[in-house]
Amino acid sequence: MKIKSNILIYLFFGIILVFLLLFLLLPKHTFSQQENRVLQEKPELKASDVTAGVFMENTDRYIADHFPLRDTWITVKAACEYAAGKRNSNGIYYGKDGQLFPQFNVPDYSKLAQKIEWINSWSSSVSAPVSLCLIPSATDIQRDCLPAHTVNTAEEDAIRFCYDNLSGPQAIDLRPVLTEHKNEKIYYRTDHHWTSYGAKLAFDTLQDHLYYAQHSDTSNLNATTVCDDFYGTSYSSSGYTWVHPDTIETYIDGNCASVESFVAGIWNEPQSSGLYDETKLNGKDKYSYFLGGISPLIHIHNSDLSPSSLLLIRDSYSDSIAPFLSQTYSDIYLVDLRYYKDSIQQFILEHPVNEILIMYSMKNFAEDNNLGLLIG
Amino acid sequence: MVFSSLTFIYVFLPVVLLGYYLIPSKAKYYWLFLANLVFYGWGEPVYVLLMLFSIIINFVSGLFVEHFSPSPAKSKTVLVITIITDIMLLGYFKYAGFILQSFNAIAGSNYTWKDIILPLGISFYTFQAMSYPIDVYWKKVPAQKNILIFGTYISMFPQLIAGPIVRYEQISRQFTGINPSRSQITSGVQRFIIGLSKKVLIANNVGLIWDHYSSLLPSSLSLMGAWLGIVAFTLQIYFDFSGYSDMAIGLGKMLGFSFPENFRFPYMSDSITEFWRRWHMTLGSWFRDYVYIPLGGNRKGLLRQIINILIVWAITGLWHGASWNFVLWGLYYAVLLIIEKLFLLRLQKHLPSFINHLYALFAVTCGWVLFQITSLGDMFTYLRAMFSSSIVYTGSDLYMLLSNAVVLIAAFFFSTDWIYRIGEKVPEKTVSAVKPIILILLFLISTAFLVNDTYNPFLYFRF
Repeated sequence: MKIKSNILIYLFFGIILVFLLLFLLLPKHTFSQQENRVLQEKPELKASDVTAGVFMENTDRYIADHFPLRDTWITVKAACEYAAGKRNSNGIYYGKDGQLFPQFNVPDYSKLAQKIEWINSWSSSVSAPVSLCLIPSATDIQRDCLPAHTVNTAEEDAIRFCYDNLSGPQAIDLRPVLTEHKNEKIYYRTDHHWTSYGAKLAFDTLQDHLYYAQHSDTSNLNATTVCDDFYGTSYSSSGYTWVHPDTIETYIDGNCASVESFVAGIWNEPQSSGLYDETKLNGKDKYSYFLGGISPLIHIHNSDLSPSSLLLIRDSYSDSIAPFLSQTYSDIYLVDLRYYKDSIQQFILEHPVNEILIMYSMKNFAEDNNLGLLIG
Repeated sequence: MVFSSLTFIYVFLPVVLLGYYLIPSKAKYYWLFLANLVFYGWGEPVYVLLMLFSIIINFVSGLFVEHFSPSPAKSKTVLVITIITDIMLLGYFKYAGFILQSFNAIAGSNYTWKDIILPLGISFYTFQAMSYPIDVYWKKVPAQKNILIFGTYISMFPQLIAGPIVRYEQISRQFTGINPSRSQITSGVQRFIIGLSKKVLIANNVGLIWDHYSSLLPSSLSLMGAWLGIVAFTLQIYFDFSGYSDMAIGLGKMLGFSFPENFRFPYMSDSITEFWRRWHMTLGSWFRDYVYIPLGGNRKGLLRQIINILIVWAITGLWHGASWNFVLWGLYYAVLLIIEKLFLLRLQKHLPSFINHLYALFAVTCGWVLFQITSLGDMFTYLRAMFSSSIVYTGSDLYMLLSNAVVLIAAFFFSTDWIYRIGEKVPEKTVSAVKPIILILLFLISTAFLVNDTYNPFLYFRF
C-alpha cells in the first residue's frame, strides 16, 4: 500500500537518478557516428568562462550530447511525432515508402545572384571554357513522393533563377534526364546523394555537353553491389531509424584509373588512393567509399586516354560521378572550395586545364559561401 | 537555467532536492539560497549581483519602514525612496533604450544608447521585492529580521524567473519549519510533469506553426494561414506560460512551499473581465492591490474609475515589454473592460453562453496579434490578412494543418478543464492506478523531446 501511494515519487526520482548515474559512469565519445558530428568536450571550470556564461552553455551542451541512450531518445521523439501525423523531423521529410527527403528552404536570392555574378566574372577571366551544373535533389525531382501538400517548387525556381542569370558559362540542366527516370532509384532513400545509377544518367548528359569529353558508352555497363546496409545522413539526422537501408552499387572498375589525394597545403606530397575505398564500408559514413571522402584536391589520371583535362569545382555529389568522368578525361582535378584555400587562378596556370566544370547540388550551392574564393 | 532542460531535470534538481531533504528543517533555507544563486547565475552570471542588490535594498527598507512606523511621515519617506529605487533599476535595465528611442522619434534627435541585455526575470522579482516594504508599511506583515530568509524568498528558484509572483505575506509563515510531506512531494511531482509536458510537448510544437507563419511576409498570408498562425500562438503562449507556472508550483511543493495559482483555464472565459481573472492571476492581483486600489479603484466615481483602468492597463502593457505595441495591447484590454463594465456584461446575461464564449476567444486571439507583432505596420497588415486576404488557403496551409492536427486538437482539449471532469467520472481506483503510468510516460516522452530539442524558448523570459 505504501509503495503504491508513493509509486510516482519512486519512479520519477528513480528515472532521474538512473540517468544521472549512467551519465556520470558511461564512457564519453568524442564523435557521434550516428549524427556525423563532433560532440561537446567536458568543459573546464575557469573563472573567466563562468562570468561570461560560456562554461554553463558548454555544460548544457555536454549533458545533452552525452545523455545516456541519446540515439534511442531521438528515435522515440521521431516516432512520437510520426504517430501524431507529422512527416518532418529535423528538416527531413518522411516520404512515400519511407524514402527520406531533405527539406529545401527558399534560399536568399541576393546571395544566389552574388554567386552567379562571381562565376560570370571569373569565367571571363579564364581562357578555358566554363560550364555550370546545379544538381537537383530528390526533393525536387521525386516530389510526387513527398508527404501530402508539401507543394514545393523552391528548388526548381532557384535552379532556373541561377541559369537565367548566367552569362558566359554554359548551363548544363540535369532536370530533364533525372525527371524522365524519376520512378527509378536515382537517389538513395536514406541519404541526400544520388545513387551511382543517378550519377550515370547525369554523366550521359554531361558528356554530351562538355567540350573535351572523349565519349564513353555507358549502355553496356553493369551494376555491382558492394554494400547493402548503407544508412545515410537523412536517416541519422531525422531519427527515422525504422526505415530500410540502401545498397551501394558501382559500374566502373576501381583499377581503371589512378587516384592521388592531397592534404591542404602539402601539394607536393600526393597520397595514392583509389576510385573506391573499401575500408569506408565498415564505418558509418559509407558514402565515403567513393574517392575516400573529403579532400581539398584529388587528381584522377587515366593513362588509357589521350590527353584532355577537366578542372571540377565541386561538392560531395561529384565523388560518385568521378568514376564515370574518369572514362572521358585523362586527367581530372577535383577541387573542394571548403578546404582548398589557395588561388584557383594560380592552379590553372600551373596545370594543363582544358575545361572547367562547376558542379554543386542546388542545396549546397545555396548554402556554401566559399565560391567567392574563385575570384578571391 | 530553464526547467525544461536536461541540466535542470537530471542534474540540478536531484542534487538540490537530495541536499534539501537531508538538511534539518531549520537550516534548509541556507541550502535553498545557495541553490537559488546557482540557478540564477547559470544564465546570468553577472546579474546575480544586481539581484543581491535588490534583495539588500528592500530588506533594509523593510526594517526602516517598521522602525519608523510610529512616525508615518518618516516611514512613508523611506518607502517612497525604496519604490523609486526599484523602479529606477527596472527602468534602467528594461526601459532606457525604449524611452530614448521614443524621445528621438518625438524630438527628431538622434541620441544613442548602448544595448543592455535585459536581466532575466527582473520584472518578476522587482515586483515581488517591491511588494514587501509596501506590505510592511501597511502593517500586513512584520519586517523580516533574517536577510537569508528574505533573500531566499526573493530568489526562490522555482518562481524567480517567470512567476507566479508570490507576495511576502503569502509565504512568510511557511519559512518556519519547512518540512515537505510525502503527499506534498507526490502532488509536486505530478504538477511538475504536467507543466513540463504542456511546455515541451504542446507549446514548443504549436510554436513551430506560429514560427512558420510569423516568418512569412504578413502581406502574403492567406485567410487560413493568418488564422492558423495566430491561433497557434494563442495556444503556444498559454501552454508555455501556464506550463511554466505549473512547473514552478510543482517544484515549490517538492520544496514544501505552496505558491498561489496563476491560471484557471483562461480560454474557457465568457468575457474579457473573466479572462483576466483567470490569466496570469498573480500579476492581475498585484496591479489591483498595489496600483488600482491605491489610485482609488472604483470608489471615486465612474469617470475616475475609467481613468484608473486606463492607467493600470497602460502600465500592465508596458510591464510586458518596452515597446509601444504592448501599450496598445494593454489599452485594447482597458477599452474592452470599460465597455464590458458599462453595458456589455449586462447584455451578455441575455445571450447564449457559446456566443459569449466565442466573443471572448475572438477578442483574446486578436489581442495576441497586438501583443506579438512589434511593428505597427506588420501588425495591421496581419490583421488585414485575417479578415480580408484575397487568398483563402494554400497547399502549405493544408500541410501545416494536417501535420499538426493531433497536437492542435490536444492543445484545444487541454486548454479546457474537460480532462478533470472526465477524471471525476472514472472510479477512484482506476485513476490512482492509471495516473502514475500516464505521468511517467509523459515524463519520458518529454525527455526524448528535450534530448533532441531544436526549438525550446520561454516566451515570458523577455519580461
